[in-house]
Amino acid sequence: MTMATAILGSDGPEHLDGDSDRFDKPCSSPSGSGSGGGSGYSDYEGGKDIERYVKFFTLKSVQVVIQSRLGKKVKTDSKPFSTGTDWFNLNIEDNLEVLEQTKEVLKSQSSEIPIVIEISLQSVTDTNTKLVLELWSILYDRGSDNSPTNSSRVIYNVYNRMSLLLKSLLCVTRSLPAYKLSRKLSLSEDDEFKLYYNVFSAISLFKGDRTGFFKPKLKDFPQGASSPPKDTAEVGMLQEYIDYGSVLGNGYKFNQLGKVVTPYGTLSLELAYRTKMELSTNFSQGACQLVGTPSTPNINKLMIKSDHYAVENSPLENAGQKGLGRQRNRSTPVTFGLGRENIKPLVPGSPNYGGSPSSSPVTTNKKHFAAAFVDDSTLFSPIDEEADLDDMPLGNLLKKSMMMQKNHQNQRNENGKMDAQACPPDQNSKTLTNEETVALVTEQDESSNDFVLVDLKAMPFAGGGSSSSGTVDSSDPIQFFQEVQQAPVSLESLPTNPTGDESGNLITDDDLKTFESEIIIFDDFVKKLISTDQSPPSGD
Amino acid sequence: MNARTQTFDFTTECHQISEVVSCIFHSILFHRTLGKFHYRQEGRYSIGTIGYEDIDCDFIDLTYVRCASSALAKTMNHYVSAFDQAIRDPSNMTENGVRSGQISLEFYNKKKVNWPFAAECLPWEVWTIRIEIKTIRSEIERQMNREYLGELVGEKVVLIAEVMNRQQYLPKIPAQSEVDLIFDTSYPDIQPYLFRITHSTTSPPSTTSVGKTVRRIFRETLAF
Repeated sequence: MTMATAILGSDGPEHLDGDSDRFDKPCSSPSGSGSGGGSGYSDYEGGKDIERYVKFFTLKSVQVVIQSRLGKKVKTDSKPFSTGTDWFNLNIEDNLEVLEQTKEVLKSQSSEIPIVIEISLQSVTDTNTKLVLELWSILYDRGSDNSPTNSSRVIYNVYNRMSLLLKSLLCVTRSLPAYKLSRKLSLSEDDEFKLYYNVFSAISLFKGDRTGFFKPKLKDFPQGASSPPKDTAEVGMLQEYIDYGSVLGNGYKFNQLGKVVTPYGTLSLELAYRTKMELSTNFSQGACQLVGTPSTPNINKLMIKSDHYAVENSPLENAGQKGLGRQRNRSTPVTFGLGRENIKPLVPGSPNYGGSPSSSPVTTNKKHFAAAFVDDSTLFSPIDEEADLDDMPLGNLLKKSMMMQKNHQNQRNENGKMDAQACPPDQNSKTLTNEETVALVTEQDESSNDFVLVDLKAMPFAGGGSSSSGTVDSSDPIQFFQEVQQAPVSLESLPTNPTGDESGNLITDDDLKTFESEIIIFDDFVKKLISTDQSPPSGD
Repeated sequence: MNARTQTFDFTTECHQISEVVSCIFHSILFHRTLGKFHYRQEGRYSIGTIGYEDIDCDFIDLTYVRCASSALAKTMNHYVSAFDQAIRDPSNMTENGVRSGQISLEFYNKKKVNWPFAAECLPWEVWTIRIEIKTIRSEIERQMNREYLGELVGEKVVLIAEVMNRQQYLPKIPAQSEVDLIFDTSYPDIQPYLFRITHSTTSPPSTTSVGKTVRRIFRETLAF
C-alpha cells in the first residue's frame, strides 16, 4: 500500500528514456537477448517497475475514459522524441482534476481492489435522477503462481502490451453509445442533463462470472479513513453489492477489453455498459422520459422541460451561484474515493453556462398525456393517478404547444435550440405525409416541471447540414405550426363559388358543353391509347 | 509462414465507402504504429510518442481515432480514394447489377534474399474489407442505414481491439540495420509496421494486370 504512495509521489516517467535505454534491443544476435543477462535487472527491480507501470496505466486509463466523455474532440501531437510525461509512448494529456482524484483513490486502495470509473447521466435540477451509463473496471490480479523475472525483454514486452491496451481503450471509447451522447449534450444548450463521472475502488470478489462488484458504502465508512477494511467480515458490513443488471438495466453488455499478463500478475480492463436508455425519476418530482428504441441505444431525442421557455424558471434567472465546474462548491460533503458525493460533472474546461439548479420548488399536479408517436406505449409510466390518459389527436397537442409558445415568445430564440437532427421515425410510429413527425407531451399547467419530449425530425427545416451541425433555426418549425393552426378546419369554410378570376384551373360550363358534344371523339382516342398500350405478348 | 487474416463485410452506399474503410484501417494502423525509433550507440534506442486525433464521419454516425500524422492520413486517403474510384467505376458491375470490391491492409516483413532476387515480402497479418454497394431510394432508409452502419463499424472497432490484445505474434524489435525490414521508417513522426494496401474489384481484369499477375507468381514461387 505504501508502495503506491511512493510511486505516486513521482511526477511522471522521468525514467522513461532510461528505461528504454535499459531495454536491450534483441537482435544483435538473431536468437535475441531474451534472458537479458547483461542488463543487471534484478527480480526486485523488475517487480517494482511492473508495479509502477500498472499504476501509471491506471492513471492514464482513467484520463482516457473521462476525457472521452467530456463531449469534445481530442487531438494530441506526435513527437519524434518522448518527454518525461509521455507514458507508454502515447501522448495522453492529463486533466489535473481527474488526476488528483485518481491519485487519492489509488492511495486508499489496497492490493487487488479494482478501480472503477462510473459514467452517469444526471439531471442538474433533480439530484435523484441518475442513469448509470457505463462502469469501467481496471483490475490487477496478483496471482499466486507468479514467475518473477529479471528479463528486461519481458518487462519491455509488458510495457508494450500496456501501450497497446491503452490504444484499444482510446478506440473503443469512441465506439460506444455514451460517446455520442456526450457529444450531443455538449452541443446542446439545454442544461438539464449532464454527464457525471466518479472514480472509486471496488472490491471484486466474483472472479469468474463478472456480474458486479462490491462497493464500499459511504455512510458506514468513517470519513478520512485512509485504508479500506481488510478482512472480509469487516468488508461485508461496510459495502454494498453493485449488480450490473440493476444498475445498468436489462440488456447491459459486458466486455473484457484486454488483458496484459505480467510475471507478477494480470492486468485487465473491463467494461459494462447500458444499452437501454430509459430514465424514470423520482415520481413525486415529475415524469422524465428519455426515449430510445431498445434496438438502437442511440439517443435521438433530447428532453426539455415543459416549462423550459418559462422566464421565471430559467436557470439564468436563478443564477447567482457558480457554475457546475466543481462538485465541491456545493453543500454536499466530499469524501475521497468513496461514494456518490465524489461525483463530478463532466464539464470541459472551466465552469460555464451558469446552469445552476433551480431553486424554485418543483410542483406537479398535472395531467399527463401519452406522447403521440412513442414507439412503445409501455415506456410511458403514468405519474399521477388522476391523469387524463386519453389519447390526444396531434392537432390538439399542437394547439396546446402553440398556446405555451405564444406566451414565451422571447425565450424561444435563446433556449429553443433543440437537437433537431433528421432522425428515422420509430418503427411503430405513424408519420405525417411530409415525413415529419413531432411528438409532444405537454402539461396544461405552465408552472409544472414535468418534461416535454420534443422529437423534431424537421428535415425540411434542417439547413442542409449534417448531423454534426446540430443546431437549427428554431423559428421554422414554429412557423409551420402556426400555419397548420391557421389552416381551415373543414372544407365548408372554403369559398364555394369561385369567381371567374380565381377559377383559372376550374372547368367552366362552356367547356363542359364542348366535352359532352364531342364525347365520342374522346372515347375513340382513349380506346386507341389502350390498344397501343397492350403490347402483344412476347414469346417467353 | 501463415498470416493471420480477418475479413469484414459491409453493404454501403457509394459515398460511405471512404469513411468505412478509413475508419477500420486507421483503427488498425493506430494499434500497429509505434513511436519513431532513434537508435543510439551500443544498439540502444529510444521511442517517440504518438499523438491521436478524433475524426468525425459525415456519412455514417461514428467517430474514430487515428494517429496524429498528416503523412499517414495522406497515404491512407490516396489508397482509399483509388479503391473508391475503382469500385464506383461504371465498368465494375456484375451480371445482376451488383457492384462490389475488396481492399486489404497487409502487414509484412521483408526478408533479404541473395542477389539477383528482390527481397521477399512475408505477410504476418492481413485485414480485408469487402464492400457491396447498395442504392437507397428513400431518405428514411438512408438515415436508418447511416445509424446502423455507424453502429456496425463501431462494433468492428471493438472487435479489432479484442483481436489486437490477444497474445499473439508480433515481429521482434530489430537492430538498426534491419529496422527497414520490419517497420516503415519513411514517416517523420511515427513508425508503423511495414504495410501495404491493395484492392480488387469484380471487374474483369484489364491487360495491365497481366504484368501484376506474373510478378505475383514470380514472388510467390520465391516465398516458400
